[in-house]
Amino acid sequence: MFDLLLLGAIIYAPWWVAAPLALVGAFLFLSYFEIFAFGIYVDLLYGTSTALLHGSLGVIGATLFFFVGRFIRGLVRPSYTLLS
Amino acid sequence: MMSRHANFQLRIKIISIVGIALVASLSLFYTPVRLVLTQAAYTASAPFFHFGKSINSLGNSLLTNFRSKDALVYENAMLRAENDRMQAQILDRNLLQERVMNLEEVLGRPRNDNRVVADITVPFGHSYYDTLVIDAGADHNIQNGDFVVYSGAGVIGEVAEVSAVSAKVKLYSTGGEEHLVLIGSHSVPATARGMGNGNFQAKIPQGSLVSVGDRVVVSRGNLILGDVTMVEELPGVPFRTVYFRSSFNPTEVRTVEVVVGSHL
Repeated sequence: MFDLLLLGAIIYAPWWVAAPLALVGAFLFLSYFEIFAFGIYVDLLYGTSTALLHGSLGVIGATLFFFVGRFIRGLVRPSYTLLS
Repeated sequence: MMSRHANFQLRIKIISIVGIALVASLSLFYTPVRLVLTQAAYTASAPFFHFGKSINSLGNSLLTNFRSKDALVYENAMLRAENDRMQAQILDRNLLQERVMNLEEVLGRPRNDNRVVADITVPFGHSYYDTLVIDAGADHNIQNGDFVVYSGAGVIGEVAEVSAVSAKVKLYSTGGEEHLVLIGSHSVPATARGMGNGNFQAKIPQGSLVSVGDRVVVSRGNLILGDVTMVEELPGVPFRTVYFRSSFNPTEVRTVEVVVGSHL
């Protein structure tokens, strides 16, 4: 359900709505690997190979959110680590 | 100390992350794979974009029902007046175009502008890339580097990636993008630097004859890029900084024209 919501935000909402939603997903769900698929999807849909960092900002953002989400989760629940 | 089970799980997770990184690199950095996946992404997303458009038009028609009759009559009269004014302008423009074509023929360089009108599927500001996505692509003979103009008002950018039925347009005003331009009636050459949202900046030598309101055209294609809004001159600095912007608001653009074959 959350994945559908995020997919809808990527297609219909501006990036500043979709990005925080992805971060929330990375925080709420342990091992939220779907975020990488969404990152690639965003880059394929909107990015170009001539853009900054070869149009891979979506994947870079997804990686960042994945670890930041887990880090915040670890702060809230200290039993979790970045790779738990 | 980690148990064998936890150690195994950790290994699986590290392998998954490395695998994802490899897939991401292959899909984004290897151009043939990227193009195929982009095409697949657009084919899969097309129904969603159409759905969004339908919902938007449905919302607009519903809103119209709730507006007062007086407001609609007033708007209708305004639109009719605007239409009359534009009809007159079109006649004037056609006459001018005819004259330009005649002159170009006399000079031996006739221009045959083949333009494709395209709707914007993903508008400006939707993604953090300064790109537009339009609903015309290789099927309409559009190619990478073709100019994209807004209803004859000026150039907005160029095609950066093409799939069969859609294309991505890179805006000239993207922050950091640089383009060669000619400023004013004296055609002062300069390098325009994009500042985002239809704004540009260029540095020209002191003493260059440029003033507010001058036209700026891209040197390749001779299309209008914007109008000078400010010229900054600081004492002791060997150059003047010219600020200019597009003559239209990029966020309001809903339809564009692609000049097919202009990439050559």
